Amino acid sequence: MSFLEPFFPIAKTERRNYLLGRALLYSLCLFVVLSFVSRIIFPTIPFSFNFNAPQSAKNTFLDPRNAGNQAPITNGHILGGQTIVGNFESPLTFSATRISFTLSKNLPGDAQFKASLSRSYRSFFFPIDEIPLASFEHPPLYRDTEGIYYAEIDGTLKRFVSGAAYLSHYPESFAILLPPSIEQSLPISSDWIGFRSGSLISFADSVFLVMSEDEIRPFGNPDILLSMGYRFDDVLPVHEEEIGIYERGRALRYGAPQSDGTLFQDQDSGVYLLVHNQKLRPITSPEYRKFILEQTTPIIASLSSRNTLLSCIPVSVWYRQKTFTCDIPKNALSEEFGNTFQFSLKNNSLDAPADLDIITVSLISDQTKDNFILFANQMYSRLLIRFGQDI
Amino acid sequence: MRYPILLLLKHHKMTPVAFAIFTEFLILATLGFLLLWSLEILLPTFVSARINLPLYLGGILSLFILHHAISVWLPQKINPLNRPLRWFLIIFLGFLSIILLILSLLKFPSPAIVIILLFCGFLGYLFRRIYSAV
Repeated sequence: MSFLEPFFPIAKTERRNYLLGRALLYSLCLFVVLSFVSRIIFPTIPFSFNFNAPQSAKNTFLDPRNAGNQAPITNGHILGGQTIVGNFESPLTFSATRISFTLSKNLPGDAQFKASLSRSYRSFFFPIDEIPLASFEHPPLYRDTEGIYYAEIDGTLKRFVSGAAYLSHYPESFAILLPPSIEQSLPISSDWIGFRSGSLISFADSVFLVMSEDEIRPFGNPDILLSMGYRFDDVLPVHEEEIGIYERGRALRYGAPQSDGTLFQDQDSGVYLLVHNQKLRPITSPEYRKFILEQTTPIIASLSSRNTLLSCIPVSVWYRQKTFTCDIPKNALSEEFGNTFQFSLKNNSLDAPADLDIITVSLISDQTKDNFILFANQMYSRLLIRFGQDI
Repeated sequence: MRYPILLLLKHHKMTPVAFAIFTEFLILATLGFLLLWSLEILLPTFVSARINLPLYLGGILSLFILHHAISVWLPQKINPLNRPLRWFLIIFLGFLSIILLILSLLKFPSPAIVIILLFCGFLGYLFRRIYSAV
């Protein structure tokens, strides 16, 4: 036999049926293959959170919380009038968004919800701090004859781990020569001061984000660093002893918030905003602004873009009263200012609390050349990671 | 015959047609699995994140068992593969196996590669002996 002949002898009278069945089989196979390939290249990416398993690693809808006080909501309970918000991130471009959620029990009467979506950088969603950074405050700073920098904090002298670490916090001119009287009277703390929070440092093959005085976190991959708005030009190579003072946290993934100390600039007003304690603090001190701009490049964001909301009203599906869905057909959110989405769901039924079982926000990819190139680059990166220099 | 419907099916004129198409489907499904499995070796989790490969394999094996049962019940003369096609398949599958083996062994130290290759050879010899005995 050959591929043009049947595997078994088929009666001549049935040859036509055989060829018809075969054509149908191959058409079906072609359709399945093409739709599979299309779904891989232009995926519909679901981001979900299962409130029955809040600790599950499969939860890709990040940090569901109360929009009012930012308290985590892990049981899915939304009071009447309350809004739940959460984030997710994807660098692809999308044509539509599908929202669906399931309640653990039916609500009495007509349930009313409103779902909204906005796009920016994760930390740029923080509220604006009412107290601006109006002056460049600093503790007494010293430099000894060996070039070691100190800060006088809580009656002790804290050493900076290196000159570079000091210069990431304060300019050279702030440090005076360490007077012998201070050196003899104040004990030297065993704690070290590292790099300014929000600094990017690299050691060996990894790039880390300084999260706090004692924690750094590596980026899961280079694309995550870029997607978070950071730049490789701002990465500072450090020595082993400089990185040794930190504890290494878990790797940063898509959707992670920018750390304290990250600098944003609002494109609309030109205002510089510093991430500080989950707020965006406007910098009004010209001295600090000049210094920080010498240290890092601001991430350009847009407050008007952040405040743009796309909304839809979820309605229960005909086959299950507890499941609600709605579509946002056209993605009119700007792709220029960040890849993080913030989804909010408001329970408009004032006297009826709702209990969510699972919430899913699916992004439906555009079939565009950009998305295809992004897919090809991702595949190439994965091949490089897999085989390294062997290919 | 206890089940006249089976008898009817056995002698129905469309049964050989359906069986031939089923056989062809099985071959396409196996080639598809081979392709997906090769992709999975090349890029781990690329396929398994989207398709449950063990389930796919289980499905194919079940269909093979069903196919075997039907072929016993419905004796059919199988048209032998013609020579060029047989050689094409042998060369294609051999080439694919060698590529996959090379890619799988790329990061292993040389002594481990030798041990793995010897073990593969031994398994092949064992299968051949078992097949010959059967």
